[in-house]
Amino acid sequence: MEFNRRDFLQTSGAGFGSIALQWMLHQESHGSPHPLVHHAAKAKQVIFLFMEGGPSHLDLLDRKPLLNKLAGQPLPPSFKEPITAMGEKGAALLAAPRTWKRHGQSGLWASEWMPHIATCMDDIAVLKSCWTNGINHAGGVCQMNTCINFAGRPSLGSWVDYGLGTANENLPSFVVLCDNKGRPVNGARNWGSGFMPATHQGVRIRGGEGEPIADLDSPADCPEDRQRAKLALLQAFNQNHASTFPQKSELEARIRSYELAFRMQAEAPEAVDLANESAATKALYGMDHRDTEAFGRNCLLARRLVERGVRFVQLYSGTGSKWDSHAGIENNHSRLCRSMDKPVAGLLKDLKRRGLLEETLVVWGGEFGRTPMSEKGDGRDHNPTGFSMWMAGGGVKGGQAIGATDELGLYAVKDRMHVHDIHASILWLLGLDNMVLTYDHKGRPERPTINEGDFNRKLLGA
Amino acid sequence: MLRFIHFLLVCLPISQASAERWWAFQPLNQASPPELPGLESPVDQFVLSRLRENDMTFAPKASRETLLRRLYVTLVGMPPTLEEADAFLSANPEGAWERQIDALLEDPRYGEHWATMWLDLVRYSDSDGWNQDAFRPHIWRYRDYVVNAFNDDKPYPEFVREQLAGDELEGDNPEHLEAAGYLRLGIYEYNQRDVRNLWSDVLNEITDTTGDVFLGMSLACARCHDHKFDDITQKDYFKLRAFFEPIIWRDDLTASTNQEKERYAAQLEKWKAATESIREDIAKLLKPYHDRKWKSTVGKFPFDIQACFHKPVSERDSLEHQMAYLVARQFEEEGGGPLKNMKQEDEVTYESLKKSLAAYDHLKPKPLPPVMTAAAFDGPHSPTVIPDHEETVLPGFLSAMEDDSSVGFKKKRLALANWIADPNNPLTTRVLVNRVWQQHFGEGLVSTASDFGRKGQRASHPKLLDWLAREFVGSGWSIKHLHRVILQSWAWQQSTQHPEAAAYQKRDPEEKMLWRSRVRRLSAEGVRDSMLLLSGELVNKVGGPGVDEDVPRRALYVKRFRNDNDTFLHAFDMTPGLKSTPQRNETTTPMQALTMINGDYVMQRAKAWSKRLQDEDGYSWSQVHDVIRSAWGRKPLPDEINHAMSFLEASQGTWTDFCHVMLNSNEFLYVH
Repeated sequence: MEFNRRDFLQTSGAGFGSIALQWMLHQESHGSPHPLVHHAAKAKQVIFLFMEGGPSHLDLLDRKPLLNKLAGQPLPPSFKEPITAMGEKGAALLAAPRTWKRHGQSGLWASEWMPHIATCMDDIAVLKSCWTNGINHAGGVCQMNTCINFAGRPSLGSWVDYGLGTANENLPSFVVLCDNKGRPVNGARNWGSGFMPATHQGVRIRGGEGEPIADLDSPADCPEDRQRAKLALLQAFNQNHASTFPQKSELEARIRSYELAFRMQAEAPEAVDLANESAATKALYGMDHRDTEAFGRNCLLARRLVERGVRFVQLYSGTGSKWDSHAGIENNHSRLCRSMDKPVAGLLKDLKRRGLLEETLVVWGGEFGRTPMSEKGDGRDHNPTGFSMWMAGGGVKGGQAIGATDELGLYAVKDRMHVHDIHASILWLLGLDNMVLTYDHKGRPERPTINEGDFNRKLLGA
Repeated sequence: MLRFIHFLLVCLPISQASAERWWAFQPLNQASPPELPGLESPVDQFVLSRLRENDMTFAPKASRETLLRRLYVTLVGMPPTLEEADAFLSANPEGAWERQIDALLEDPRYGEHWATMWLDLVRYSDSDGWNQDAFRPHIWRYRDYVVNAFNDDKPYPEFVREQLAGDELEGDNPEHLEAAGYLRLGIYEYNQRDVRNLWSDVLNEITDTTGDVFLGMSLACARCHDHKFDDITQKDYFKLRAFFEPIIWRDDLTASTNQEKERYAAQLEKWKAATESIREDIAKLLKPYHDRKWKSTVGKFPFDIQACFHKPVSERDSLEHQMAYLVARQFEEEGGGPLKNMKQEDEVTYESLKKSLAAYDHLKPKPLPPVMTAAAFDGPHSPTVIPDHEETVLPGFLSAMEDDSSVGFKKKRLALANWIADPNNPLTTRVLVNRVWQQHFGEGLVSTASDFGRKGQRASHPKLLDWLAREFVGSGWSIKHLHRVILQSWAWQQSTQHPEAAAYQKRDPEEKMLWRSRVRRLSAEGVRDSMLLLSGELVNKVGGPGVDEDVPRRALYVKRFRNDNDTFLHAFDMTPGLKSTPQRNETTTPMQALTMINGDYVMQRAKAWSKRLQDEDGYSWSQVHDVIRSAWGRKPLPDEINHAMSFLEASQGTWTDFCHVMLNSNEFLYVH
């Protein structure tokens, strides 16, 4: 299809067609420096490893000797009684029977539940004082994705796509992968674009068998030559129609959207085809073992996608709130950690050896942490008031812990980072200022972090 | 007659403007249309005089077949069938346009289509949102209320009063409670222990939405601080919230008349008398299980909330009652039910008791239609407090409109509705006529339809906007009258092509001056409904409970789940139903292309359509002609038919392929 992009942009003007054209204008402006970048970017893309359900910081990254000492006793009165999701009153503190070691040059603590990630601690900045408003999964997952616990705002990936555009127009620029067939809490709303156009919405991609993107393949009962004939007829009708409306650029835009769809049809299967990955690489991600195969595949896909210019990849671990461990946390977490640990470490190592880690920000965490108090005897309730996340690559100085919770890991007390600050920091590393990036909606200049949140400069080692 | 009742109501006066007041708060301009010889429509007089000032003029009128398709899509949300088009085109042209407008305004499809505008504004959905996203089985009655309101041309003040204060209205009208479903449309889920904050979010969200929908003012900024751009203080925000403060959600009411209720109660008495001892036995059997579940449910909440629950209703204030309601919802909704882990012998007894009870089912009256609604609390109303300021505020109106009328204890929301629906409230009328204009032209005279504040756009034709507002009120607040006024204008009927387009575009690139019509894509619902119409599958049934996506009824009736925003309809920019939406986005994406050309839904419609054609052998010229004409709304050119014929013959293609191409074609998806 012959298509003169410059003519097209000239005729599009700033009129009614402008929303319809967003997709294309987007493509036009991905060259560097991007007009919307507010300062020099440290990272070009993000891989967000989302541990859905809320992993226990107390058992993974935030070592609390006092917790084991006071295990079996109620929360000391010096700690403010929190509102807990399940509302168990006066529950005893639950020990975290972990073996802890310091790792790497930096000597950061990690428990035996993440032996592989532990070998990457020098690349990781642990954020130990995260907090959120979401007390239950719906609110927490919503907030970690959209910065607020109340539904309706665009997700972080949508803001990144809005701010930066894609670096590869033949693939969606915001991609979501889940590690099982289930539905995450809040469903597709988590990667929705809220009040922004659907152009910025995330696209769920499926690895493995079948179409990676919904409706990517031609219908099974429509052979290639017939599909081609149909498209030729469609093209002829649409061109003819568009030529009678020379200034109606949205008609050209739609013609071009088909062209883009076909390029995606050609490129997406290649992007998710792991046939050319070596056995060694697959093994690095744990794809050679049943326990780690599913998440390992997604981690490897994430690397392939960012290599091809996808801006924001979100991987769900434990899709459908599987990290939620109100009872039997030992069994639950040991299994989920095993499924996630090696693939994540493989991803960090693979990105690093390919020189991609410098420009790829990797973020790890759940919607909240878990309480030091027990629930149902051997589980932990949600803890939105203090939990850990970590970041690596994308300009982040590894080998450091930022912030701290109290002595039992219940409340964040030092250098507290609200979800607003976490999102602001992710955006900052991408060259976006959370207070400058705005989208006008119903008379309000909407900002990705709802007018709050600061970049935590300590991430740079400053 | 009804539509004049509002004149009789004692209205809260809105005082006269001071000169510096923001334009949208000022009284309506009284200017008459500029007199332009040869033009009958006041709309045209306003629009053309503005064009002439800029040395421009209207485009020619569009062709009759183009106008007919535009009219159908605008009023009923789908194109005409060939029969409908033939009837119009062959009728005596004298008065045919007016008759066609009237016919479509009387067509029930009109209300179905125009309801969508309102449902977007009030963030209607059939599900709770949050995580479980539970289905709301009765909220469709609110949706049907809106459809009927448009079809009946309900005067706007009644529409406002019934939604904001249906429970406070006099009269034995089941619609009132259905309409008050407006107060239930926000997202909510029982599974939340932090109920104080949950409830505060709910009230804030109703306040935000009410400002957006009825006042066209974005108030949400003022929740945290005085509005930075508009004359709205934080106190104003909480004054508005105070109207909603004592709302109690009601799940125990029915949409029925007093007579129906009495009849029901009388019959129920008979059943109760006959079954008294059985029911007592059941109650006795279940009591320990219920007690157990109540104990565990209530025990999960913070102690102050438990105290609210344990207080007798007569001693509660509204907030305590709301907290107790939220605890009780937890009991009602939580999985498993109280009978989980029942003792074996109790289970056996229970089954046999239920059987004995069922023997009296013939005495039981048919249940009255349940309705999801709200009403004010009977006891003391809790104060509204501005957070962090500890300042208590009473219900009141926007201070920028210089109205400090106080509001009584009773019927607070009715006072709010009356203030909004006062003919002298200039915001209300401007906002509403602008919304209607936006549906007709793709963009409002004020292009930011829910923001008439300083961050919004000024009106492109302020005098026309005010004239329309006055015309609207003068007609008895008739939206159908507004349609007629607009649809009879040259401005609406002009072509999408203008001989001077290239020159005009330089002068007015955003086409604000209305020198031609806009080419517009069908809405998400329009795409789906039109495909079903062409395929012959569309079932025209008005109202009733929502249906699954694969049922061939209008998209309006497809159950909307807030968390499933990756459906076919959402790909074409249907709103997710989470926030008030004054204008849909109109995006063009490769995902739409994929779902149209590869997706199963569109393919199935093409198959169904082609099945209707296959009764005849081969591909006749006239058949191809009709297929194209029904998709595009115009007669195809010989070249186009030849092209189609050679496709059908050469590629061994099928009718299905051809119909599928037609459904993908721009001329089907766009309206000129």
